[in-house]
Amino acid sequence: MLPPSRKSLAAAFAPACLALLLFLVPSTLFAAGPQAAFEAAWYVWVLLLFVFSFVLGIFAVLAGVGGGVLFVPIVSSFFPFHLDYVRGAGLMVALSGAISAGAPLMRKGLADLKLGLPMALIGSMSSIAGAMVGLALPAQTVQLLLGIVIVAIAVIMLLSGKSGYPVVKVPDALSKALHISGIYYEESIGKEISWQVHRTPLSFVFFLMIGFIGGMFGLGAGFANVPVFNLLMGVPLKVSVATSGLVLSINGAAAAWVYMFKGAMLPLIAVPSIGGMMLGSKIGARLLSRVNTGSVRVIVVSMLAVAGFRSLLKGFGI
Amino acid sequence: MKQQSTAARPPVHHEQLAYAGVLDRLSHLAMLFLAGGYMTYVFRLLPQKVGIADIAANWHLRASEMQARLDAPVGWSFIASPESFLRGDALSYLSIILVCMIPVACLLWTAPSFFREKRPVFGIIAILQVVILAVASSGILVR
Repeated sequence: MLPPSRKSLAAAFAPACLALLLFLVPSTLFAAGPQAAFEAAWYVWVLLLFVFSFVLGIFAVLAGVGGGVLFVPIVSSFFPFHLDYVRGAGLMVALSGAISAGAPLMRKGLADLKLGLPMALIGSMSSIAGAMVGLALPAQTVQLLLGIVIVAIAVIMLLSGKSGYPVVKVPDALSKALHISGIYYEESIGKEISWQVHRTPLSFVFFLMIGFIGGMFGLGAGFANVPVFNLLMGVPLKVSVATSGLVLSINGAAAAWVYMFKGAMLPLIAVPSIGGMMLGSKIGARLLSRVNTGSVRVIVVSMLAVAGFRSLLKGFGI
Repeated sequence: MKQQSTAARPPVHHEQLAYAGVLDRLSHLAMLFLAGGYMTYVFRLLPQKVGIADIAANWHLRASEMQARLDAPVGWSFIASPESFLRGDALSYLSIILVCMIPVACLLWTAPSFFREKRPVFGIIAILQVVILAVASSGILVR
């Protein structure tokens, strides 16, 4: 039996090899386009998509990232589906994950309606605009921009810090007027944590931009919601993560309609992605206490960077 | 941020519990519908408007190009007639629509609670959010 450190090393080694393989193998082998070298029946692709989403679901939970941000760049790089349908499915993956996890988090007071609703109101409008722009732009341009955004997200994830219990000495006037503050029970230390926020107006601007990017690329945008809540507004990390789910469930639902009306939502692709990701997330949640999440996070960020570079290359027509 | 030593858990706002209750029930229902609709679709238990093989032969095309060739369900087109509704692909598509409607149902259920709890600003925000989602679901913005 391996000691825990070796176990985590072994757990980290397998996906590292996978990431390297993904980088080395030519994209034509994965049929990432109409000139597919690997022809297969539709059900083979659907099954592969389900299995792939399942594995992504596990790693997404272990790395503490949303499913959509991994799903869109990787599936658009290695599956034969057009980016339009992958983005539509990506939104549904993020939306379904947030919806299925939402109720218990709200009952515990971790996801906060008063904090999330104003941000979702702003974000949902821009996510609709983002989806419209994304579906109007040439596919190659969107692929190129997706590559840039994903590489930037990987860098942000590596560099950005996080604060468990930020201290906000003076709340801003707007958050005071809206009574945006709260209290929750922190199980890990057995204490109640009360919180308040600052820089609310600036946060609205950030949520406007995040909603646009989320809608345009079909990303869940939890990667950006959490740092804005946590580092900018001073919301405790757990409340930030939980409330981010509430925001992206509303933003995702708004943008998804644009994809549906533009014919970019294929149940054949979206439903197995949702199913695989949700099952994988449940397994990931069970593995969470046994795996070195720090190592997994580094690997997932590396995979994200690889997928981002592939998107960039595809965007340049390489 | 203050830490208070107490074993009792802080109360959660009534409207938040209302939102969570609807979300819980509808999310389970939607997941069942997603699975059932998809099984009906891929195992061809009902006829399909556009065959799976046709979708698969064109899924490398842009959405607009595929739509021009196949006329697959978009927006609310599948409820144009009873015949178009009772199809495998329409049923699976409907399950996706149900997932997207969950936040609307939660907000509609919660908005009156905000007014009852004397938090009218949030009641108004909830209603505005429903209006935005309703406008998006009407398809006006993409015509």
